[in-house]
Amino acid sequence: MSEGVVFDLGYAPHEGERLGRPGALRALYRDGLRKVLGLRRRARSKVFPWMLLGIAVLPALFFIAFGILAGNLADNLAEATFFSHSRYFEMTGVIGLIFVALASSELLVPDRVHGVMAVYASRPLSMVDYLAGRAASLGTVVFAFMEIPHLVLFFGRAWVSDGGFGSYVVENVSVLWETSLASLLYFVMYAALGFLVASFASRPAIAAGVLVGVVSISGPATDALVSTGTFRVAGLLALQHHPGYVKDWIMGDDVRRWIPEAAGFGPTASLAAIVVIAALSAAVVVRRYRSLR
Amino acid sequence: MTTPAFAADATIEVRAVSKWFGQKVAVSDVSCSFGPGVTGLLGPNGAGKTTLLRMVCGLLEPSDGEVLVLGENLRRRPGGYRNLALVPEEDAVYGFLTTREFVRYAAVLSGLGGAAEADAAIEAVELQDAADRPISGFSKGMRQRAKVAAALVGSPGVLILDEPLNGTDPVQRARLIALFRRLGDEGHTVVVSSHVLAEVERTAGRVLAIVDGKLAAAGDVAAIRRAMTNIPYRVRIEVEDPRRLAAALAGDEDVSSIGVDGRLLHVETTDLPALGRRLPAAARSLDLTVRLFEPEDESLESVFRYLVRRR
Amino acid sequence: MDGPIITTSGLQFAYGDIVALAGVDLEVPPGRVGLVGANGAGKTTLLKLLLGILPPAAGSIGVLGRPVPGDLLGVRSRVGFMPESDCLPPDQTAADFVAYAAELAGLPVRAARQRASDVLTLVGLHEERFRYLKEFSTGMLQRAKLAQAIVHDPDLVLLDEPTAGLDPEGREEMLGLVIRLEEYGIHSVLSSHVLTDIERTCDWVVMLDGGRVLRSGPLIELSAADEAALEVLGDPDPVVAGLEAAGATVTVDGNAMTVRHQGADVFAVVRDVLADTGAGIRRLGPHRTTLEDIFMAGADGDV
Repeated sequence: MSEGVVFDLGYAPHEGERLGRPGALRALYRDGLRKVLGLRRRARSKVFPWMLLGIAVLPALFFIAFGILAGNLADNLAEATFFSHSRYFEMTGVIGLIFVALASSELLVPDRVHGVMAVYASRPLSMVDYLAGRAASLGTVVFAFMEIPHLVLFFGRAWVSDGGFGSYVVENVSVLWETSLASLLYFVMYAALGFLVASFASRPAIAAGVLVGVVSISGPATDALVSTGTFRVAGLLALQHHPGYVKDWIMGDDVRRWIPEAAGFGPTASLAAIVVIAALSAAVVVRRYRSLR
Repeated sequence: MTTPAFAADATIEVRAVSKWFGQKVAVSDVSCSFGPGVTGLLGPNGAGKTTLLRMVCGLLEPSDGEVLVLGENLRRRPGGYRNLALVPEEDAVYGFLTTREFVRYAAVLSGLGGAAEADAAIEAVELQDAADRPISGFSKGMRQRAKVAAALVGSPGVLILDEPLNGTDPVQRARLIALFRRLGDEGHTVVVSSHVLAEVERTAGRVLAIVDGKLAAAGDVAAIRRAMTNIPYRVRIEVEDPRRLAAALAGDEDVSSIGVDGRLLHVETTDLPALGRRLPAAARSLDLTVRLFEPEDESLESVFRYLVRRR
Repeated sequence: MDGPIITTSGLQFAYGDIVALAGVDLEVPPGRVGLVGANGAGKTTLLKLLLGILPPAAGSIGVLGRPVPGDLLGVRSRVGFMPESDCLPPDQTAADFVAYAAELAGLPVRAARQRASDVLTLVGLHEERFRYLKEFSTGMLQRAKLAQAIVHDPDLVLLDEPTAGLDPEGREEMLGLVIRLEEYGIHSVLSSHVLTDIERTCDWVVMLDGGRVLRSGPLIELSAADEAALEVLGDPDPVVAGLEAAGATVTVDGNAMTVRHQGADVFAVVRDVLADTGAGIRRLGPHRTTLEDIFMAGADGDV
């Protein structure tokens, strides 16, 4: 006798594990990474992030290629570098700012504008969880984008170094944590402002533009004020200069004239400024999001 | 000659109207008319109902055919539009105006009345207590009523309402339905387009259904149902002992199917009124009491379902 | 799930000066619950309080036996929400977003993807699920919204105007889905202005008015078993006369009449009078007070 069977394709309850808040936070973090890097989205959204990373890494690659081709001259060249790690920040800092501007608005604005906050509101996540998760995603990528060029430069140098790869690394390993720390500070400064602007803007492009605009103008504007001699305090509003000033302090370098320095403040003042601005921004952002309900 | 698609004393005539957008035919050779009273316009989303409505209002030019309002093609003589008012689905109000200002503004635009008519319109929708508050503070239901008031000002002959009850709460719905019916009784041509069929049934005496761009049915709901002769009526009957009743009904030639479900009989018959007439005596002779006799597919919802599914 | 799915005691909330809830006491049993009320009566506020989106100004809340906001995360893991407003990102596919919604509720990645797939089939989204949400029609969006609300197999789902913008076929399917959720062990709270939807779908109704509970009880209580609602074919007058002669009280409303009889089974009396007069039944059943009747009697409209 032949047999047949029909499977009941009805609803099956979920019997498996439930990860609660930690699972939700991880999912939020992964989603943030995808948003920022344009993964699992249309090709268009991948272009910008990867292009920026490419631009940031290019000088380092160029330098290494040059070093390899120059061969025997490597010894002198390794010393006569046309840019140091410290100076590289002049570029990676800008890349970081642009990236934070675009990414923070990409992370915060669409969720608000399209009402997706309602979905988060019915999930085991608090408002602070959401904001912290977004900040973590942003931080991971920004930090990576700012630090990878340094890594490329560092290991590239090690490779073409006269004394050999291993010894170069051992001698100069402090460079790695110095640049990491500095990149982190750049991130904190820019991300705080980026989130601040993004929590009020209604369009990502506007938020990004406002951030880049304000930060860029803060330099010349405060410079002018400080130069007059009477508004020295304005030196604390030179937003773009604070991370740079502290970076020079960490790395023991002096890449350019820093406005807070010119205004008579020490690098610790800049460090404090970064921390205070970050804390204030965080408070405002949390308050803003709480009022959205 | 009038057929159900055409109203007596028609105020709006739709003559062989078609509309296409590129390759897509949204409305295909529709002929019908609207007259005094309330007519419901129904159709699935994307079936051409909204397109037809816009052509009736003059917002769109037909690709073929013409629409006449009170005998005139209004796209050639826009002056006639003052006798036609539209309550669109979209939020079409200026938030910074108060109700009174908004309705008076509409009155000025249509040239149909002044402050007194505006106030009367506001009272008709029961917004008089909120007449001097800005519309931006209103709930969706109140904004909807403000739009209706603006359309009512000066009592236009033709009133076209696209989802007028959107966002309104149950009390407001009931009152607005009563308002539309009254306007229909007073002789206005009221066309209501809505997806909530139970309410269309209460508001409109006559309905037109657009499916896939064509006119699928027209007339009053019971008559449309009767016209679906290939679909037997379904009715639920409750008696203490359904199987005995089932046995009695099984001999009836009109009855095409009987189902037993607890105390209920589900009966399909091609002649529902005949069953309704036979049943009391039949039940008495079997010493059974009928507690429920409920037609299941006479409603506009059922009729509509049949219209849409037969494609 | 035994025990009430929702309990509130003395619940209050105000937006500044405007009082939204002025002391709400509820004990709602498992099942499909309708939530009705005039605009501004407090429905949306109540939903937000149940989800812990807003903190109560006073009073206590229990959802599925857990306190809100005491066990907020626990509650949110077991409750789903289908908002009235848009909540879907246009630049993601339905499959993608619903899986993400499941992960956000705590499901492991693989389970989330599996459940998303199952639930999308359940709500009737097939090949469309791989298209971007920006291309979805209203009906499809509502389904996707429902999908994200139930993807994590909640015990309770809150639906705010789930049939808004849907055409008649869509409404019917949506309400059918809500009814089926009960079979899957998912209770629901359905907030809607369309009372006929509630009457069709729910077995318990909570009516709010001016921030208070006007009524909270089973829907069937609304039928009176000893009153008959009758519509006859043809002229009702002989029938009315016959019924009154048989000792019944008849209230006529157009073509319909409500019949009451003190001493006898009113349906038997109706049957006999109809048989004697030869009139045909158009419709017969217990007189049902509709939700609308209750509303009009007890509630004030908003101003």
